[in-house]
Amino acid sequence: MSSINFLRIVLLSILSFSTLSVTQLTLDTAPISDDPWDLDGPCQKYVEKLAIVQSEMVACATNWSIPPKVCTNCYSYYINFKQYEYETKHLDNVFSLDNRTCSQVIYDNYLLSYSSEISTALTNKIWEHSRCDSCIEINWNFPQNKSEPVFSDRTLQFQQRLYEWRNCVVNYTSGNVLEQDLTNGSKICNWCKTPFNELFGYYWKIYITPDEDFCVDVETTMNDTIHLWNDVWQCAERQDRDRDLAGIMITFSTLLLLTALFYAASYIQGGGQTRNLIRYSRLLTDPRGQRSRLLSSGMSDADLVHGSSSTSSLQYNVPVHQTR
Amino acid sequence: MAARGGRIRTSSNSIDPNEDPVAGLERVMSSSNLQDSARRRRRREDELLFSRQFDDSERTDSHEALSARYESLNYEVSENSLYREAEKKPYHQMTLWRISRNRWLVCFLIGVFTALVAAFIDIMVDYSKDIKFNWILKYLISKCGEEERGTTAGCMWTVMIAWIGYNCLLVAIAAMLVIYVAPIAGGSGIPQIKCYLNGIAIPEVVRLKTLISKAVGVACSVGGGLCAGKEGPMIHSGAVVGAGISQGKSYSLGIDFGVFREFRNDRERRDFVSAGAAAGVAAAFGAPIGGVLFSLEEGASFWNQNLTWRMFFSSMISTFTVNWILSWFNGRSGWLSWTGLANFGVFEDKEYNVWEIPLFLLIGVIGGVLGALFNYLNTRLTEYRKIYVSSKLGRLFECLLVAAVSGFLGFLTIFAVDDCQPIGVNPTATSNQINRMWCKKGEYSAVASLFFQNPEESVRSLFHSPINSFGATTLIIFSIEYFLLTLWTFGISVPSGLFIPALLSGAAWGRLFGIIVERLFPSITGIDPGKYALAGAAAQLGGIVRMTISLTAICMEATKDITFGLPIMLVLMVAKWVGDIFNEGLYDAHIDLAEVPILGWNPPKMSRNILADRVMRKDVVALERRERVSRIVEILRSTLHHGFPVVDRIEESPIESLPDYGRLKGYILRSQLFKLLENRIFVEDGSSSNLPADFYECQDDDEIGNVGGA
Repeated sequence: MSSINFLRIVLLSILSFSTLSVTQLTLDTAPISDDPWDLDGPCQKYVEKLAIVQSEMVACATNWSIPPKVCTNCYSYYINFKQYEYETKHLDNVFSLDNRTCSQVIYDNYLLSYSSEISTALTNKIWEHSRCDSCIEINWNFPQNKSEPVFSDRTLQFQQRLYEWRNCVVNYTSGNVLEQDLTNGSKICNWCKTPFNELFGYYWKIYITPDEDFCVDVETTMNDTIHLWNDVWQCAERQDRDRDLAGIMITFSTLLLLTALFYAASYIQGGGQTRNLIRYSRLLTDPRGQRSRLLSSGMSDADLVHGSSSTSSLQYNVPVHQTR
Repeated sequence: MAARGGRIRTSSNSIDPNEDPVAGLERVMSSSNLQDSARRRRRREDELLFSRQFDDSERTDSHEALSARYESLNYEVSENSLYREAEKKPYHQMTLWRISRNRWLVCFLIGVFTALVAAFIDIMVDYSKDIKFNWILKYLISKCGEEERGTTAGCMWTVMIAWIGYNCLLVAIAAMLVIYVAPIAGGSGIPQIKCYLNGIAIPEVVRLKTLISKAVGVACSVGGGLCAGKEGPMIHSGAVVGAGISQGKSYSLGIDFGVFREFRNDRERRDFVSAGAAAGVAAAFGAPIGGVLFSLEEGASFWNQNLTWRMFFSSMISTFTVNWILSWFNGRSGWLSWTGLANFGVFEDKEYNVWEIPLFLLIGVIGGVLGALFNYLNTRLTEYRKIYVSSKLGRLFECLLVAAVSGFLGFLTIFAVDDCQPIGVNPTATSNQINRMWCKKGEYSAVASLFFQNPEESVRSLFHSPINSFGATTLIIFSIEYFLLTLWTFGISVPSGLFIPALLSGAAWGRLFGIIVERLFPSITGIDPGKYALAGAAAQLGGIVRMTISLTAICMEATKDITFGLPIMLVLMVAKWVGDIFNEGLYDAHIDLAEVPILGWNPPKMSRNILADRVMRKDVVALERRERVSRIVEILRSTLHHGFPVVDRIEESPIESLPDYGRLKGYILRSQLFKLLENRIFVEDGSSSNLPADFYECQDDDEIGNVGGA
């Protein structure tokens, strides 16, 4: 938990400047609150407050867009924004000059509600697309304004392992890791292989489990880490194909041999049972003996009886007709 | 004329042109009869002319063979006195209304039960996948990961052996079901259903044991990693459900529920089989309209408007039920936008431009050519199998061989093609454990993701993946391998469909086509290889099965997108035209190979002036109007025919050995003869009390032919 707090402090310090300037901007461009022609005058200040919390969230998201790490960095702004959005939706006791509630004015009154569009975009496109719920679960409590973020266990575990690996790298290098000569890479690889393997193992276990997810923050962090490790420092162990070459070749030749043998053997063995082809169009005279006695009824009883005793059998030999 | 003799004679069919025709004929002929020889010479000359004209000499005898195993179904209403009496009864209108209501009821039940079968297959495949990936492979690969840290010996091939072994086990189950329980359940079943709907009694095609073998078998063969789809078998299963429910009894179990007696004849059953086939398509693709159109285009030879409505109803119920069951199974009960067994995903950016039309046409041409090639090769292969791989053990072994090679080829491809890409590039590639094999940590093999997914998932990722997900080499190798494997797989003795494999190999080369187009016209934005993959998939399938309207509907319904309707139509039409230049559709080819005497829409080429009596056999087993019971019993015992002509006299002919039949008086069915004999009605006016009083209660179906010998 301490690491997260640390992160938060760093974040806040980074963001404080940008947030301030944005706030300034919002106030400058806001319409004049006491416009005598504005029926919605009493609601104006709520919109302005919403604008501020929205812009804070927007600024944070844009600041953390390379790599995208909105969930872990902007959750406080997100909570603020959602809280105030909730409040604007429940302004049931504040009325505009024509006696409609400010919630109605803000969300339902006009052709377009910019504030609601931006809110939707922030909620759907930023927060939900980043799958933030997999990393931070926020226990919403709007009426008391006491919404609490809870980091999921797997995110914390991941972070712990990430820091272990980073600490390892920092310990073995002096000063700034990335600006050092990259030929050092191979040494780092050997030193910090174990923490990396643990980090990767943990990540991979979750990644391949169907119903468990990481948020985009963790995924991009991990992807960048892998990239750094594999491609920049070139630490990746090549999965050696040659080791499996023998096994593959044996299987390959066995299957090839089996296939060839099977088809060759069945070809040599020849074609199954002989077939009984009759060409009716060429038959001019005799129908075959088996059937001829069925044809005419004008035969003597004795003939019939004799026939039935000799040939009535279940093994009726199925002939094959021929059309041409 | 013996079989061998006949075959040899026509294989040396052509008389040497330099030889004197008469001498040549004498060399060939066995008969010394002069009249005969004159006739034969004439015919032979005709034939020679025929073969010269059409260069037909390639075809061997067995091509035109028709098996005598197949008898016809009887669609005539037998207008006997019972029937006429039934019409006179006062409550006849009520009876008709009740029958009509029951038809709808049966169609409802067909929809529900077909969907149950479909859901069963899907759930079985899902569990099989779960076992395969999550138990066997996860364990083995993690074990390999631990071992490899210290040792130098390769370990991945043990994973491969386990994979192949598991596949072979499942395929062995499927093959044994087909070989030892219900041989008719092999393959896709669409050719058989087409024949059945055409009016041919294919033995055992609509039995319960066929259904069970088919459903369990297809789940096993798909779960066993064969290049097989579950859609074709679903159509067959739907048809069996249709036949079974409408009859209210089962031969395989020997149970008679005593319901729906009025439908126990071939005519009614045919209609329910059509409805069942439509419900099968509907369940398989989530495509109710496609199902009805499939039955119309490919299946039914007999059609009426009421049938259309009932079919549509069945399809609708089937789609609804299968979506409901699967949504429940996947934990989102009531979420009805589930898309059947084949879920191809939804196209997000759906647009195309007029300049892309020629490209689609080109895809159609390629699809037609490849489809024709597929049909040619598969027909040859099936002929070979028919002649040489006919023993039961041989067929079983072939199935295992195909399973092993299919599994192995996936591994070989991953091994040979170093196509590792960092994870995170392609969000649609699901994260299977196995995709990591032989890749660095944090990378997955793009080829593996195609090979080791369910085929539907692979189609989906080919349709919807971002443009860089698959390299050109990957696509070339994959499409060729899958094409060949499908070719090899279709026709072995397991239940296996063709739709998904054809769609998959088509999607692979279609996507490749899209990438090439994108490279050729880099200045034009908005080229999405996904839509070319869709067009390629449609073209490949259309080139093989030569369906147009139903495939269009199925493709549109399975992708839930009507925007690409026009390109799909274009591609399918062109693929059909191009393919038809070379040969006929695969299902028709397989019907020919099965020697089924199907009656096509048109007579064969050059046969308009051939009279029926030249092709038909002359030794007709006919009955006179008065016959001895002993003769009838004898005839029933020694023939399998479903009906016999009744003539006024049969006399010995003074000139020919064939008897002289008088005039045709009518026609009596085998089943009717059985009924008469069973009830001991030997004279026409014999009023037997054994007879049922109601016409609709006494109908009997005609599979009775199989009891004939007993």
